[in-house]
Amino acid sequence: MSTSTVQGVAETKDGLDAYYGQFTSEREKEALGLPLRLVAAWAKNDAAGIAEVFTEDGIMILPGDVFKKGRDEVLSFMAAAFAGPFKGTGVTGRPVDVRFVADDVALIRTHGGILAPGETEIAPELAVRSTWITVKKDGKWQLAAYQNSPRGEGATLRW
Amino acid sequence: MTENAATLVQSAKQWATYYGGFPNGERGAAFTAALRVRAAWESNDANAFADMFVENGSMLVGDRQLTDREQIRSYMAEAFNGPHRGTKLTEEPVEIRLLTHSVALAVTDGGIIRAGADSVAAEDLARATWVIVKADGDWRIVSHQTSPIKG
Repeated sequence: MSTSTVQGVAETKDGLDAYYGQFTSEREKEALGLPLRLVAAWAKNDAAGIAEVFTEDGIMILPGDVFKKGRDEVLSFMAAAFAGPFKGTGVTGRPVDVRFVADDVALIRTHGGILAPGETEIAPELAVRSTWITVKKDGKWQLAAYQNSPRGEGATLRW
Repeated sequence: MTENAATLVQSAKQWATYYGGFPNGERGAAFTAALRVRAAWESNDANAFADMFVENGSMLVGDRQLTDREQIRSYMAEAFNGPHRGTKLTEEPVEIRLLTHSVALAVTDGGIIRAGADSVAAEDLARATWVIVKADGDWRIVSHQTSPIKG
């Protein structure tokens, strides 16, 4: 099952170190915990858990005409997606860029994608480039905006 | 009115509409960075375009990820001499937020108007996220990424 692999990233120290890659400072690793929270919620197809990663008014933009504003819209949208074609899917990704635009604003870029049920590798159709605009509020990194774009010629998924 | 003045009035009227629902205030101020990118594009001016980015500014164009100002400069110089020659950029602001007093987030709908066309072709429609930072008293682009809406 793909989701166990995805969760596995965060379950072992080696898995975590591989995920952090070149981003080894404590503040980078702290910010990089945010995508892992979304990955973990996705692995359970937990729409509320995904919405929780966002700020109250967080934005989600996906290829196709998807522009969701706020946790409630994200929750409903993801719940429907998991009821539909995304049932049983996982998601994965690795950071390629982490920048602090301000002390409490981090810009993270990841390369990743959706894992179809039973898959452990991202198919070309499902590969994405993601930007995570994260803010630290109340001591916790939260997702102010998330956007992904197709990665590679073969990335045809639209929502 | 002279012809020049009439042209200026007409251009100014159109330019003012580019602010959409955010003509004033800090959000309007942050959005000027995107408008200056748009103006640079309209002049096919790669230097003016690149200079609107911070030094480590990033831009995703199609499947190409540019990660600093000089990459953006050379990419755009090539593009304006080739595939983007004579093209224009539209960017209707649909959301602008201040994340902190010095960091803004803008979402725009628009895309590249092909040379000779009046509007963005449906398959070229894209939604962009801009991260804009205030540095030394003015706003610059930290990150620009688009996602296809129809294409």
